[in-house]
Amino acid sequence: MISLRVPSPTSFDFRRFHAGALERRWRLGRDCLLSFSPNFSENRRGTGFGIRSTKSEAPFTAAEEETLPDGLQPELMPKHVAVIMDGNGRWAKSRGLQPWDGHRAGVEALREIVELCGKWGIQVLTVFAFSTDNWIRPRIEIDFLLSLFERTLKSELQTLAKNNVRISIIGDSSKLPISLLRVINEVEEVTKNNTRLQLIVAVGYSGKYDVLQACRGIAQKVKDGEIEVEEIDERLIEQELETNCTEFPYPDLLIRTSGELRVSNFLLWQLAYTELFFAQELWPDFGRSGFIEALMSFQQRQRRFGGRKS
Amino acid sequence: MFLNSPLLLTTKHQLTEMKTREELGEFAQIFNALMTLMRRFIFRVLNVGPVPNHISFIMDGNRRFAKKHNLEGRDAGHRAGFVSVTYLLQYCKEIGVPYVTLYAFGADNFRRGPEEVKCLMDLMLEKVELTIDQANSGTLNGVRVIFAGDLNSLNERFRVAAQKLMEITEKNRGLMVVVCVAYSTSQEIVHAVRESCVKKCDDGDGPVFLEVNDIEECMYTSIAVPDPDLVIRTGGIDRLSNFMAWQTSRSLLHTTAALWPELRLWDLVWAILKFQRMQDYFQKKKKFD
Repeated sequence: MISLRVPSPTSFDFRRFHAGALERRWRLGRDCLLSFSPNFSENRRGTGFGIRSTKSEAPFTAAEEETLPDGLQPELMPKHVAVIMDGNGRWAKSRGLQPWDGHRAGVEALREIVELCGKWGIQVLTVFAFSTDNWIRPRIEIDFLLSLFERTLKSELQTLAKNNVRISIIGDSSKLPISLLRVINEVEEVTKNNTRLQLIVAVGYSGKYDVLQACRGIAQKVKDGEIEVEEIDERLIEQELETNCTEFPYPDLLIRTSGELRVSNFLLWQLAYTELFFAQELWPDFGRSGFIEALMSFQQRQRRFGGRKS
Repeated sequence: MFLNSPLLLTTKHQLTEMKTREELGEFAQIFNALMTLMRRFIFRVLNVGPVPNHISFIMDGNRRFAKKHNLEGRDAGHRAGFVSVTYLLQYCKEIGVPYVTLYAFGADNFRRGPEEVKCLMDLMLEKVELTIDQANSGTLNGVRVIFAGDLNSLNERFRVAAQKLMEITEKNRGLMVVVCVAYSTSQEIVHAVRESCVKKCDDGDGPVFLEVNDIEECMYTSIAVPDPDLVIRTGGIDRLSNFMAWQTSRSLLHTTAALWPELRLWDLVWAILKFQRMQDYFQKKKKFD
């Protein structure tokens, strides 16, 4: 369920990574993704392993607008899309690979979706990268993921800045390593004035945690006498939640891949009237066609927000 | 059981059905007995696997049903919906599901036209009073009813009736039905935050220590009800609609295309089978809480 960006995994050769010493593989995977492959060439993807990407290794180029595909109407596009990127582990397992290979494949899929969001005028994209529940995964995997995240942020910073993408990170940062926190601060600072697309990455996040920390903030304010108990209302809580970093905190559409029909503690308060879409594919297979299907389904729905449309 | 009460058969659709049933007489009785037997068999098969501990229903589609069948009256669809409620509760009781939640009226539904809101309130009051009568006459054994939501925003008569029903059925054990009226998650969380602030801010001058438990205790449904395992939404729409977002963060969300008054036994069975199929994942996740 963790999919993060990787420094351009162009021709990642999966076949080299056979089952072997776990430690050696982990170290290899951590340090040198590319220089391993003897035939380093463009477009030599994990052939036969189905890593799909409609583009080649061009970096994220959302500079150009793209006309929407047939069937999608521009006035009905959602402003805020949230994604639960589920299924990397299962994808890797079904191909006989290790979990981190699945995460890398997931990154390709994420890159594609971010590009499409930028091109199609979606203003906020929230992705569920790492949940509070994921802390119980093996230490090796967690370390790998967090260091991967750090390296990716560092390497993609220029591309994102150039493409006018703003990054925000939400979640409980108390358990993250200091180096990662520093990179996060830097990335947020550099991209804070960008306006095209806001990419919110939820790391160490859970909906209940978000509401709890908002509640704590409010309780402290009440104790300090800044606000009265009677003044606590929905707006105040909305302002205290971590999604206050964006103008559109409520997702219009939530997509969850891999066929699981749950929300799994992601964005509790904000999902009040969000349209839910459950895709059957695993996240690395999701891609453009899956995204179009989700958007089409969204555009056909009638949103009433509790009222009546008659 | 109150299923056979003639008071429930108020729509034209059901009245015609009743007339035909009287004409058929014995044949209908045998048919009903056969159906009950078949149902018992199906439920026994279902019970081989794990059955959800708490099912919650989002009852959507009443007005669409009324339009589809050209029923007269503003609340015709909702009356048909109530019949559906009685059948569903009967089935849940037979399967052995201990807790059921019904999303009757949301706080955001006050946005609808005042006539419709009044109509709904009157209908709910009528049904609550009917249930009180049944509870008094002893036909409601083994069902306990609780009302969750901001009851203070409802009219006095309804509040009194709801309170009375809660008191009368308090001692019953068997099926617990939570009826959510004037309920919405955002409102529930605001209420919980206020309560926990009041509780915690009296503890001296130090920093405030607030945990998840403190908030959960102040939820409307925290009194005796665990989190739902399965959420069934009718009407073919995939949304939470501000219903129990906190409590359903780990539950299976199942949508049926059938409208609420059309919900059949088979839809319920299918939802439970789906729940059973997803048990592996569910158990794995539950361990990690």
